[in-house]
Amino acid sequence: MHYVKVFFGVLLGVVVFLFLDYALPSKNTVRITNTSNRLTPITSANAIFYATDDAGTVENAQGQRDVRFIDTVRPNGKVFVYRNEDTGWIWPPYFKYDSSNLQAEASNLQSSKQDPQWVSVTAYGWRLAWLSSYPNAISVDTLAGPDERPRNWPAMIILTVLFVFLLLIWRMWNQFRERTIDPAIKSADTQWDEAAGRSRSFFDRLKGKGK
Amino acid sequence: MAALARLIVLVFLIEVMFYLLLRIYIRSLRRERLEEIWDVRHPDMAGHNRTRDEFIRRSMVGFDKTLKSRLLWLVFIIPTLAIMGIVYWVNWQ
Repeated sequence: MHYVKVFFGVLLGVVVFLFLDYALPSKNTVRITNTSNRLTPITSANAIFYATDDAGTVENAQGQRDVRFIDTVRPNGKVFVYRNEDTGWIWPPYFKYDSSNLQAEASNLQSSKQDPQWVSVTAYGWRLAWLSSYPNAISVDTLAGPDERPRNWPAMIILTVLFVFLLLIWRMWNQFRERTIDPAIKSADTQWDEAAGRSRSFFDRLKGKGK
Repeated sequence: MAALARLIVLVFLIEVMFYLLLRIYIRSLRRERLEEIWDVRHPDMAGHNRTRDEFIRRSMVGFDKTLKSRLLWLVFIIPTLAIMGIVYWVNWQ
């Protein structure tokens, strides 16, 4: 039983970590090399990594979407591709509907290797090549150089709020248990004992004992 | 627009749920505190009894008008403001 509990505890921790890693905003220092849009097939396997159907992107009969992309290069020379899609009003709760503006900004900030303009792209999501999933860019800010790493305040604030929230729910549950569940169990116990006592005497009487 | 309406309804329902849960929570805290106050004042009549229940019932009458109880309405205000703030920062900054 102990190992089962440990197993599910670890599993829960991993799931929570992956969920936060996916949904929280992250910042990367990059240089924008190209912006484009292309018809992208959305299959049932990777649909979860794209915006919901009603978020503003139009899907054609073949299940393809015209998705905007931002191609970037990191200071270490590796490439990184973002998609740029409205999130809609439900999930994830970024309430982004300025993809066109963001795309124009990104196009404006394109730069060459010789004359680089470093930017910080805030995005959520994962790049999984085998599922064709891309992180969704939220905003672009210009930086002075490739070594600048802006602090990720939004993620910190969200994590703090979530932690306080967890603490509050834990205290509420404790109060509920102390004031409502425990007394109920206690009174049920007492009633059970009384009932058990009665029934025993009933059987005792049946057998002609207990007088 | 339907998506926005869905969001508004959903957020409102979640806020109502949390309002009710937190209301139960702070009332329970207050009741526990009152029990302790009674037990300190009347050590001879401590524990669960009818006089103490009556004392707690009468003490809880004006609870909805206290500052703590009124601050609970922030449950409706803060998340709504936070969502508006996110909408602003994501789309207009």
